[in-house]
Amino acid sequence: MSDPTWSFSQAFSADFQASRIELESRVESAKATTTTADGLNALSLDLAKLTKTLADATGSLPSYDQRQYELQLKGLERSLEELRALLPKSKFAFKRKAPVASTPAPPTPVSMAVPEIPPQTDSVSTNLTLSSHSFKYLSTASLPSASHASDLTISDLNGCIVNLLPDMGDAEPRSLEISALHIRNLTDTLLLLPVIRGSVLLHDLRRCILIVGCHQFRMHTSTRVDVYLSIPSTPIIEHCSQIRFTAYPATFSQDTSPNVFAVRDFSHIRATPSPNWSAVPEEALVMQWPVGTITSEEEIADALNTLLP
Amino acid sequence: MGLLTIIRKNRQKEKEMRILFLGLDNAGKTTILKKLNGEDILGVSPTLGFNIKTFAHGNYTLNIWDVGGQRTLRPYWRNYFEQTDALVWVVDSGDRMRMKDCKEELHTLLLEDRLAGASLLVFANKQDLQGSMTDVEIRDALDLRSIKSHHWKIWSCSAVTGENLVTGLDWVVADVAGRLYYSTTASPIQAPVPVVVV
Repeated sequence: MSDPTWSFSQAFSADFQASRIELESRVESAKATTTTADGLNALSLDLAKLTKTLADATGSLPSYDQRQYELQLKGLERSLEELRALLPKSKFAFKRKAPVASTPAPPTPVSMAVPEIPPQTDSVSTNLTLSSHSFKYLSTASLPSASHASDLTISDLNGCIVNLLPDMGDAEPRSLEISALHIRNLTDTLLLLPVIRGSVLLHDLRRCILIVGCHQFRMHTSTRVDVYLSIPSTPIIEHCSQIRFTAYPATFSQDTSPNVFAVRDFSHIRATPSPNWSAVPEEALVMQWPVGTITSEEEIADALNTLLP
Repeated sequence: MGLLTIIRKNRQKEKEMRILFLGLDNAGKTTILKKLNGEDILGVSPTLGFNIKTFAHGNYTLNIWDVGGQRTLRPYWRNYFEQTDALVWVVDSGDRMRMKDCKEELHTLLLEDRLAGASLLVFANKQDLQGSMTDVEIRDALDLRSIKSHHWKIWSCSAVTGENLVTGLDWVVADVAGRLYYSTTASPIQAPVPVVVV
């Protein structure tokens, strides 16, 4: 039988049955244990997808099969309904964010559990990364040199000083040119970054100082961060609190945009000023930056404790 | 004259297409549009709300809607689905950490009834930067090959250099045209013949 519709319905039936059985077993195991609302939502989403594949295949399946499949999906839908009824109803309430613990970084190094990023096995392109360090002074020497405009990812740092400023005293400056930055999950960290051409995207910073110049700036889910920024567009924050902004230090670059920018808070789209950001007050401005390499962990911790907000 | 014929004739007069640009924040949606339109891309700020651009492309008038991709704005995407002929999904090819997020947002969109039938163009943007994922890697990361409900194609591109922007748009316009105005561009598609299974 080489009819295309026939072979399609064969292949479809096999796929469909496999997905349905898998979904059924997940529903069964959800029944056995107590499910969360998230788990249930995931199940409904998968069921919706399966329903849609079946609907898309209408006309290419024998009508008896189609009918059977529909009945099976209906059955699954019913089981999900039953599960949903069992779920404890959450009362609507305004939530207050838990206050952030303001304990300073411990002076002694502790081994920090760093979330494991699964290795990308099938990946052929590689990008520059600076990831998973604690209580270190990191500079351009920590990165492989790249001759072209590059995308740099900085993630999972705790108690570090990162200095990627071009070395003024170096007769032969390293040819590292960063064009875009993706930054995620930094705690008690100071970032000294040059003025770059592209955009900066940040997630999950806690108690940090960031010096950077860029074309676009987006900060998400961060708290207690001082930003020394040079930018020609409007910087934005979303789901952030206690963020303070000021101008990029003139000592690091003459080529900065004027210090007139309005920050836009996507979590506070109103006429009133956002409570989540302010300007860095004069007395909190840092004048002396640790631009020279520090090797001892105690000294790094001391330097950070005096600088960080 | 059937209803379908009337609708087709009507659209033929207008020769308009509605194209929706979506994607996570920082993907470069607005920058691509500005570049296509020959505008300055230096002062582009993150989009709060949306931008509309109308321009002529070949014989067609394109109405392009560019909606902001910040997390707080994504629930509003649904307000722009109606009458969409093509969806352009823009990806920041350097954003490895959010590829999973990107995949989930895209596949959720494709379940949407009001987007059924829309052509899907995926722009793997920011290819001018070293370390970006290739179009093949992004195709796999977003699991594009599992998409059966929409015509799709992925193009690597750069909003900064302009590489492949017009080529990608050409594809999506031709794909929509082949569907909406097929009487003028292609021979009618053969209707599926019911098959009796023995």
